[in-house]
Amino acid sequence: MAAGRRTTRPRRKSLPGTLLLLTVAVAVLLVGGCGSPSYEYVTNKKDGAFLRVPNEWNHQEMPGPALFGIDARNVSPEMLRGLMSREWVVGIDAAQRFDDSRLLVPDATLPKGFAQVRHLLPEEANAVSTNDLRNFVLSVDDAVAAQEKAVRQDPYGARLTPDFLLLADEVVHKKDGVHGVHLVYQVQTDAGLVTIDQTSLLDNGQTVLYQLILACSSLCYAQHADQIGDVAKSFTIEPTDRGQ
Amino acid sequence: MGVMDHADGTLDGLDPRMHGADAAGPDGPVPPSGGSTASTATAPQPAKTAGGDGKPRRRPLPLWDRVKFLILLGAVFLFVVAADVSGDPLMTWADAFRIQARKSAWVLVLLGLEVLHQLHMLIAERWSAYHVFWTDRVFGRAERRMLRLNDWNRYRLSRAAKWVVGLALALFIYARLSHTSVFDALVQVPGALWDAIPFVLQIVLLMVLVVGQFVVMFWFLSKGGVDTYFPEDITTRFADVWGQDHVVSRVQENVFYLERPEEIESRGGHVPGGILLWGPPGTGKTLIAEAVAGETGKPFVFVDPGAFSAMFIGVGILKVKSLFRKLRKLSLRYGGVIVFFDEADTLGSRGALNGGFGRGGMGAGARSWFARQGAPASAAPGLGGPGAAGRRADPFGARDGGSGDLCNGLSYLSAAARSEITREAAREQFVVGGGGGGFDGTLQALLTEMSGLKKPRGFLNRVVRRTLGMRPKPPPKYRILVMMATNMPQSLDEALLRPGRIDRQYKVGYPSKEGRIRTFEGYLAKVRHELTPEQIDRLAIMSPESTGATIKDTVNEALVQAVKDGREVITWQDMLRARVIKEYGLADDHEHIDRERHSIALHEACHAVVAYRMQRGRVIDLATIERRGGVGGFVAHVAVEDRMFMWKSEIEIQVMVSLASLAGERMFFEGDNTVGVGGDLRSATLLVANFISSAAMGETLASRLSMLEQQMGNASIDADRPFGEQVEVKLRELYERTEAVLGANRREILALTHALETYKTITGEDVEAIMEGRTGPTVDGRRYHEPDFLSVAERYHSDAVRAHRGQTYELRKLPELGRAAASSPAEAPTSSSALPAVAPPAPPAVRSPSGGRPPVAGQGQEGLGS
Repeated sequence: MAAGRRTTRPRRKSLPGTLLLLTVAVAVLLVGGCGSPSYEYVTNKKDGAFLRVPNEWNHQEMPGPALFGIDARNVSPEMLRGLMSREWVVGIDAAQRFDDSRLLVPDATLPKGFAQVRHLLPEEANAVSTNDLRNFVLSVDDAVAAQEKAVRQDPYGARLTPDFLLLADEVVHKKDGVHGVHLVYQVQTDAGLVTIDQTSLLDNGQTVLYQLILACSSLCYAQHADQIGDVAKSFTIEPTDRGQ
Repeated sequence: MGVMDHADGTLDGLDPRMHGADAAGPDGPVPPSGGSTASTATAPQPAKTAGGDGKPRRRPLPLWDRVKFLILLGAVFLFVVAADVSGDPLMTWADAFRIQARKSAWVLVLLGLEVLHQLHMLIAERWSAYHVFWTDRVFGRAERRMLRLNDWNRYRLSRAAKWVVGLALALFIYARLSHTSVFDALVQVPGALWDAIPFVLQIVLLMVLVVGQFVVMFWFLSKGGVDTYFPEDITTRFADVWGQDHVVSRVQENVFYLERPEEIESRGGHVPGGILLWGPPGTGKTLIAEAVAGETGKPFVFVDPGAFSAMFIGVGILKVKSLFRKLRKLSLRYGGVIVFFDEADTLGSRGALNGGFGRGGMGAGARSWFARQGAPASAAPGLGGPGAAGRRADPFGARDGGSGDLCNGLSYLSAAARSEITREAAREQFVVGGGGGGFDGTLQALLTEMSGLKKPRGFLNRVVRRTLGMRPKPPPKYRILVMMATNMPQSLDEALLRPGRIDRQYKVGYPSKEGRIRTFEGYLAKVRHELTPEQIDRLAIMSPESTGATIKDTVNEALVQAVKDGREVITWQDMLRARVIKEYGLADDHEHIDRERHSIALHEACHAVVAYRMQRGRVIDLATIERRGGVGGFVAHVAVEDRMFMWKSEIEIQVMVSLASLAGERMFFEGDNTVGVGGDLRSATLLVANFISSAAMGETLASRLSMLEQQMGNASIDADRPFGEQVEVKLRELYERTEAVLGANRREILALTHALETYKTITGEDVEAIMEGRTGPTVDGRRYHEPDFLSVAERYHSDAVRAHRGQTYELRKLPELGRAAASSPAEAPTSSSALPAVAPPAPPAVRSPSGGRPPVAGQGQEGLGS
């Protein structure tokens, strides 16, 4: 029996090579971690809203709601708390310092805006339509009609310096029945011509509103159109059942 | 290299001669907390080994130990990266990695440190000089410096370091939670703490409510069962305690010292701290305590027997502590206090743990002490004591008195001899031991409070003074006199009875004769009576084991008897009747048939005659042929002297009294006898066997009883023929002597038989009157000494014998003795159905077997039973 036993050399348990390999891996990790990420990610996993903004832009989650169509002064504190619990707002600002005093500054010199998710009140959910999504910031259809009227009255002047110019108007259909509109338009204001990029979406059950609004002066928009377009394009909705 | 020289000249783990586990160094293996260098310095020291060249190096770590923390930290980092990527359709792995490299940088820092640590370890395993440098120069030096500090300073430093690290960690966590930097957080902390006060108070309030209800519940549970009396509250005085003068005087001594401690303390002594009053029930223990309360000028705290019984474990301890807190307060305020634990046996015992002087069968705990003192339960059986014979069923119960180990308590023997003798008793203690109670800590708490550490007390004293660097004041002298009373001293814990706790133990026994007289006088003074001092004296003689309680009860019963007869004045007859009722109970409503009545009366008359003629120091208390329970009749005796020991001759007389029934029946019924003599023979046999085997009553000296106790022999008559024969010879000898006595007193036997048949129950005085031809309380004994009585009695007896033989069916009518043998015509019954002068039944000692046969006078420990 002894003659038949094969003797095997014990394997070395301590392997400096393995340790070296691990060290290299860790070094790669450490070095790799030194670089900056390509984008800043704005994420709301609870409601399934995602977008990314250029790395040099700032974003900040806002504690208070940006209530559209509702004057907070006329709302009871309880109602306000209820609304706040139904709303998630992140301010976006391409400026070096994030200005949280106002989220929508149409004449900003650098792109500024916000993304929001809002669980609609039952009354709102019953009343809302895709067409209404167009008029959340201002009444686009009225403005278009007014512009057309102005063109009829003064074709040259109105076309040369339009008060309102709809640059893009597309209906959006995304997966899981998310649908809405994407509008880009110029508006003449007291501070000059501003451009607003507005994406308004509703989930399949039309109970959750997803919005991304970016605005700045038209000159700024011309300079940052690509970046703004990328941000708007990255606006991704993956509805969760939280709002159902 | 090898030995390194150090300032202190000691060798450390660098000596190449010290291999393996013997040479521990300060450098550790993988640090348990992720590889911080701080932890490596204090980590458990691994063994070092020497390489092939004999130089010291670190022992190589297994691969798993080398990489486990790297893997763990890497996994943690990967997890946080993956968490970012998952669920975010826009996020790329590269960006997630970069983002987490910033957000979770601490993981990477720990990872880097661990890599460094492992590299350090790897180098130390291969490069001896490097290893020596770190272990000796760096960590070794630091450790040596630390060792210069004394243990206490090192402990304080370590404690301070732990605090600093703990606080820093808490600050770091707070900073992360509040999304600020650590430095901002440090500034914010005071404000945050201030803001948090209401919340903290809410929490505290909640806890107070939650905990408070338990505190309140236990506070209420720990109250009760303790009453405090002040001097003017109680009117009982020592003068009210009758018949316990010796105990009272000793108790007074203790109270005296409590009230005037300087009398003994100025001479270097101390005030006795505890008194135990033990003795049979009703002897006045509680009354003495009450008198102490009434006489003393100090508060008196009465603790109920059940005061320390509680539903929850621990409440008893609280109660004890609460009690003694109260006692200390009272003691300081009034200069002393007396606390009285009634029925102290409820305090329980932890069982005896020593193999001391215990006496087997006595129980646990305090047996050894009481064995030295003279044993409460088993002392001097068969001596002194009341009539109702046979309260002790164990015929060997008399062994203590007989064997005489009470006389000197074996003190004349060497310790080794005593130990050998008591070995069996000690073993029995362990078996029997236990005693019940005291297991929830109450007893222990009591023991500690009675004689524990003299701790400085009070928060101010202990904490504030010490904080200010002042020595706490020693506790004041609390003068607390603990009194306890029990009738089961053997169930007390031995530790309770040691000097320092219960210094003095006083037996409150049955009152002395003078005490009984005084007690009778005391209670009789409260009612109308016509008893003479001589009669009261007689009562006291007849009631050797009477206590205050029983005397009070007897007087009351006598009053009941008087009232029942329409009188307001208690007579001697009432007292006698009451005594019989109380001592022996009420008789059954049973009428013997004539023949049986005669044989029973003759049987009892024989007992009575032999007892009367032979006994010394004992008198007949009662003779009756009335049935009580299963007992057809009995003759009861009382001792008139309080003696310790019996003589052999007295034991023989007891046996003769027992044998008198058999000898008498055979003498008067032509050799025939009833089975009713069985009980008497049993008593006689056991007495003879017992005292032959223990007190040299026969021809041998050996103590067979002790051998039996030690399981070294067998006292059975069957198994030990010579012993059995010895018993039989002695019984035969005593039988013959008994026959002689009976033969010489034939007239007296027939006279007593006649009186018993006539009156059913007669007192000892009547027996005496008949025997001596005098006038008794019920019977006129003179008539029985007239010349014609013997012939009348013999004729009647002859008829009874013929009826016994079956020659006649009906027994001649019980002859009336003309003038009647009654002291007064009104009381003289005229027929066999006459009512007895006295009545009732009792449980006499040895009962004859039921079945209607005449019971027999038996020999119990005190008198004749059945």
